[in-house]
Amino acid sequence: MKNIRTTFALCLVLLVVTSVSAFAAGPQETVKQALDKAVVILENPKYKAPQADTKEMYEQIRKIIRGVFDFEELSSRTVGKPWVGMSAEEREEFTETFTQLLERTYLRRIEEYNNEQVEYLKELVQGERAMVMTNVSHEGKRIPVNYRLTQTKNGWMVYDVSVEGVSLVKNYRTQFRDILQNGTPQELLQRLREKVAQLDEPGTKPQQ
Amino acid sequence: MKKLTLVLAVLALCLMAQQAALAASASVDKAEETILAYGDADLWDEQGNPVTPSLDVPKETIADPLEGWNRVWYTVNDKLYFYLVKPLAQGYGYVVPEPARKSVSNAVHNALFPVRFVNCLLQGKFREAGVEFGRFWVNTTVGIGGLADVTANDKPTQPIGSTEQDFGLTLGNWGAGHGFYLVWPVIGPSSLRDSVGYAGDYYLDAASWVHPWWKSVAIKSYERLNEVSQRIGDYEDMKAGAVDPYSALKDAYIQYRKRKLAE
Repeated sequence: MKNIRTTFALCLVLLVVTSVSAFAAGPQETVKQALDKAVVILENPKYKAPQADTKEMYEQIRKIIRGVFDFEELSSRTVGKPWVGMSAEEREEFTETFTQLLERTYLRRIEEYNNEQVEYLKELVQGERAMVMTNVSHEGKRIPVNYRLTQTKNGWMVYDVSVEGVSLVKNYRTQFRDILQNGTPQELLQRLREKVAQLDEPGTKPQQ
Repeated sequence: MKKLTLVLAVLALCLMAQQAALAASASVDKAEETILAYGDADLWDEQGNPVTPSLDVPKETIADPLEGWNRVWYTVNDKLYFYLVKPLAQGYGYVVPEPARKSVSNAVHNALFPVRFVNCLLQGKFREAGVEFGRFWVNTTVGIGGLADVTANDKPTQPIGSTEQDFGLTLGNWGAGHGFYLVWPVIGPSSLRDSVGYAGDYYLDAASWVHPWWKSVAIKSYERLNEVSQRIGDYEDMKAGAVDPYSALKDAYIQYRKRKLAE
């Protein structure tokens, strides 16, 4: 009788342990869940009215993005080797500033969302790294969008997005490398801060 | 019964140990670990093919010996865009509705069929050339001179590579590297290889054969304006987020061409 009880208990333990790993979403599922959640918000008629409070919408979208993007991993990869020499505080500040820069740049594009369809093509996984390949239909054209992910203690997280072959991380890495060649990470951080402040200025057109 | 319990206990322990090991490894600074272990290279390229980091990393950068000169033209093109091309394109887009502009794009793309066809052949991509040929005839006849892209949703019976080939890509396919980065007035970012390619394709573009020369320039300018009117905002966004827009555009060009070459 005792044995049966022990067996039963062990079975329960096993069940719990295995189900935890089974319930954690895979790379493609992670991307899909985040995109689906964002679409639900964007299609909410509440935000589509001309006088809608888009601030709340942006806040919700931002939450989703921060939940699925690993901005620390993203920052470390754009900085590359010099990241190893940066202190924990420096890294944290860099990550936060860079995240702000990306949010301020790309969140404005979200208003252009026009019922684009995402087609999931392939999911590649090797150890703790993965790539999810998709096509986004935009005005009759199929635009390839790839997501690169890494496994963290919070599940799979995106650290790079590439559109039509142009990777966000690599694009910033090229820019940062030029700055880091002649300057310190602190100077780079300063440039980022200035850029964020510039994007925050009301009424200015950052593109000119 | 005892044996079963033992087996299950061992199994459970193994699983728990694995979980614990995973948790422990996650607590080590992962970002630093990855950089030190792999450099900052990726495991797959944009087509999903595995990459060998040691071989692929140098290809991602391009020599820029004429950076001073290139930066001057970058700035000129930038001003040209914001003060001349963009206002014109916006005015044009205001007058001409989107479907009409799309039709013009289709017709221009259709007229550039010789560029794609010849370059598919030069690269030995015969199946792709055949598909291009078929699309050209159907779009020219059924699609009334290519105004309608009636073959847009027709998939070839067998999967093929991209048919969007140009002479720059042909040279790349033959093994030529970019050489170095070059920014041309009006035309924009290019490289030594792609400039040679541009010159080669020039003769396959029917608009180049129009006489006198200024009519040819006018046609090409109009085609360009029509394209720009459909892409307003792309360059602005790229520039808004860039810490160094010149360097960002250079990298975007190189990455974009790299993907095209692999397609």
